[in-house]
Amino acid sequence: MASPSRLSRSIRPQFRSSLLRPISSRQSRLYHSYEYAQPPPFSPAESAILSSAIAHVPDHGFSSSALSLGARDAGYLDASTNLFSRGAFDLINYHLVSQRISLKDAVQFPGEAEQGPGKLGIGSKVRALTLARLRANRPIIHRWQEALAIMAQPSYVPPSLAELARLADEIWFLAGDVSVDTSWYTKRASLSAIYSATEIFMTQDTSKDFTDTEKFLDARLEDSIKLGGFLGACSEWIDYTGHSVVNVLRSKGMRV
Amino acid sequence: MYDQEASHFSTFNALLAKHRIRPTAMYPVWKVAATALGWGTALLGREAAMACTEAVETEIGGHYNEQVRVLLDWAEKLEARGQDVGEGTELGDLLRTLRRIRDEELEHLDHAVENDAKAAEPYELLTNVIRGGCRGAIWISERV
Repeated sequence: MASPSRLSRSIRPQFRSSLLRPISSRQSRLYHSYEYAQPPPFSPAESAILSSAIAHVPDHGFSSSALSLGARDAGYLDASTNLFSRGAFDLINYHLVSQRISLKDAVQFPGEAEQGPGKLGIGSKVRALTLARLRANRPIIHRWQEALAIMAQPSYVPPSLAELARLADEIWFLAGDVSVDTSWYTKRASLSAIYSATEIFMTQDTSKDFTDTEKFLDARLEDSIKLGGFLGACSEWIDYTGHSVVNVLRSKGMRV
Repeated sequence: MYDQEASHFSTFNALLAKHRIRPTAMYPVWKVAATALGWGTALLGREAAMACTEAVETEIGGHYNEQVRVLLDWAEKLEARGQDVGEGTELGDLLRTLRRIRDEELEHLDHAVENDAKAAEPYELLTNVIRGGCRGAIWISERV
């Protein structure tokens, strides 16, 4: 089976199916299968109503009126919005999930064979993917501050953070990251922090074409690279000093 | 033996990355523990190092066997539904890889026993502690 790095990103099917173990009480870990499709995150009715409701968000914000208008457009009764027990948050969640899922189609990197001397590193791919996801917020950015306020409500904080984590995981995966040690966690944590800071910045960015947001993102990414470099240098220094101490002690005759 | 183990490590890391599975958060702890175990038993002597190998390979052999059992169960269910689980399918490849790696680990086990693993001094204590530690590590990694 071809490894993912050789599959063109634009045609790779992204499906997930959960690994369910009926043995003892082991937890299940999600396993991304290339052969089996995951059921879509929203049922057909939900999908229809929410996708039409999103079109009303620029005018009505993330609110139940946008949901009712969407239900009407999709040909459902206004009362169908009772399908969404979390109200406006369900609309926000739909926006987050649908934008995350369309990220793989929104950004296509040239396959390895087509890349010339200017080969894209993982860092620049992460930057491109993050910018693409931020740009997807443009139609509704003037409504995003109220969406963030809704997401900050205590009962909606866990699902919002979970979506942020899934977004960071998606971006790193699409950028081609294959590390599976502790850096798996630190990379996703730092990208989540950078992304949410940049998103908040973007809600009050008035520059043309959001160039200020791009600069902000670049500054944050540079910060994280500098921090990584500093930590790497620190650990190298500790390593070197530790070895030197051991060697000096041995040269003095101590059995270490 | 070292080369085979290194290739096992990179095979599983590649599988983790390819299938987007969350790696265990205990990775740095296991790294330190494994280094300490290796150095500790090496300092105790050649037989102790072999006994450690024997203990670890026994546990890992059992672990792989259980995984192969579960996957075979799934393969049976899929075949009953009419789906293909032979060469080239995800499940088929996974089964083949696991069986190959399990066989290599059991070879290491035999190699260790042939090289006087049983002659290690606190044999029972050493192997029981190491086997218990491995089982605990596997149990924790499945959950954390």
